[in-house]
Amino acid sequence: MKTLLHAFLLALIAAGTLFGQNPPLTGDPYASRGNPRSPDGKYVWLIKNSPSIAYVLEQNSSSKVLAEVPAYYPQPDPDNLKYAKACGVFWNRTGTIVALDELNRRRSGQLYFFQIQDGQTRQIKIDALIPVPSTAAETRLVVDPGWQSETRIRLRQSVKQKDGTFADNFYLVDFSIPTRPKVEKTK
Amino acid sequence: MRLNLCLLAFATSLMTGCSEDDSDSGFIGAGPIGQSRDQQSGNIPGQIGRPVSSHGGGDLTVLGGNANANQAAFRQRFGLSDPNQDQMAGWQQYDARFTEYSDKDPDWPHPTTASANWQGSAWSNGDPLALEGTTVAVDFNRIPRGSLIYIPSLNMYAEANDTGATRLWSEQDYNQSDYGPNGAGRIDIYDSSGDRSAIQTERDFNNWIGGNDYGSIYVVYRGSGWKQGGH
Repeated sequence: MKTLLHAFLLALIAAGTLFGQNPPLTGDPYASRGNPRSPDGKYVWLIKNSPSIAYVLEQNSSSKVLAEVPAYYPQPDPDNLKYAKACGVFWNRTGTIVALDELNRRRSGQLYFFQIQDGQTRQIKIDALIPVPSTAAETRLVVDPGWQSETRIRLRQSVKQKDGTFADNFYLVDFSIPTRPKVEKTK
Repeated sequence: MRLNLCLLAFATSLMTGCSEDDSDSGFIGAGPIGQSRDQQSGNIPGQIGRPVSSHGGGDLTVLGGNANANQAAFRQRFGLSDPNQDQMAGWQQYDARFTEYSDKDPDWPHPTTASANWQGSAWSNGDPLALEGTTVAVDFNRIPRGSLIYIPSLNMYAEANDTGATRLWSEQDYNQSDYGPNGAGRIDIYDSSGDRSAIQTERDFNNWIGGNDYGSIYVVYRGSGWKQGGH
């Protein structure tokens, strides 16, 4: 009986690992994640709905727009807006690097990184640093689960293989030198 | 135990939930050749004329156990029948690529920006469910959300009420006919796997379409206005 119980618990843990996702499968999948405001409160991500749906990074004190990226589904309608609002914003502890992660369902959505310094922003592109497997039909990068230290964030590459199966690959991205982020595979 | 309860609650939530919301999505963008969402490309098919031949005799079983029944109920509810050549000549024809997605997809439990399906059934969070035999996911930039389409090679009417990795599709199919000037994009056909694995489901689909993943579709009605005529 005890062995059975152990096996059952192990199966549950394995299931939790297998289905561990950001956002989680339980609860409202459209709930926003992370925090749109920077840790020091100086910056905030907003979602605008006109003339198209877009994410806007503003300086809180002046409402100055520092960055803007289009939503994955930019046509302004309620369904697309609901999807856009389900994004995750993940700031590092010092508020110098931020990840903007759109809802990661059905391999839709994009993952953006920005460096913020003295009221100036710079987009950091990392897609090219993470290899797409030759067996992949579709891939999608998401934050999962978040920052591991001040400079390192863990990402999941969700892969749909050409044969119809699925796989997850995990990476640590190190922004110690923001102009030259380093990527290493992890578990 | 907590995890166990969560998994149980989640499984229960998948089996419950119903919405009657059949509202329009309000699409205002242009389609493959710049039509507005309210521009109907032809008449809803009637009951006359010689039907068009199709592969597999219109048997949709490979899409899931209820696919044929769903297609029949869909046709009955909205008065759809096998179209004849004259009717098809009145619809807009587009190049498309046929792919499949299924409930074995890890991302499956939560659709993206899907519109309410023709039955009005929904997840507990209000998202519409896909129905095997009638649901396809499309690139909403190419086909307006909720449109009624006809796939001649499968003799299948479908509701374009779901969407998927559209940006990726357009990137990967760049220079392919489905993203050409007359392209409707990918038609990602929903497949209910049942007890099949993801790989088996994909294999069955590929065998079914026989390598003819590039073909044509007809847009019978752009947008979801056609559903207002149901009963």
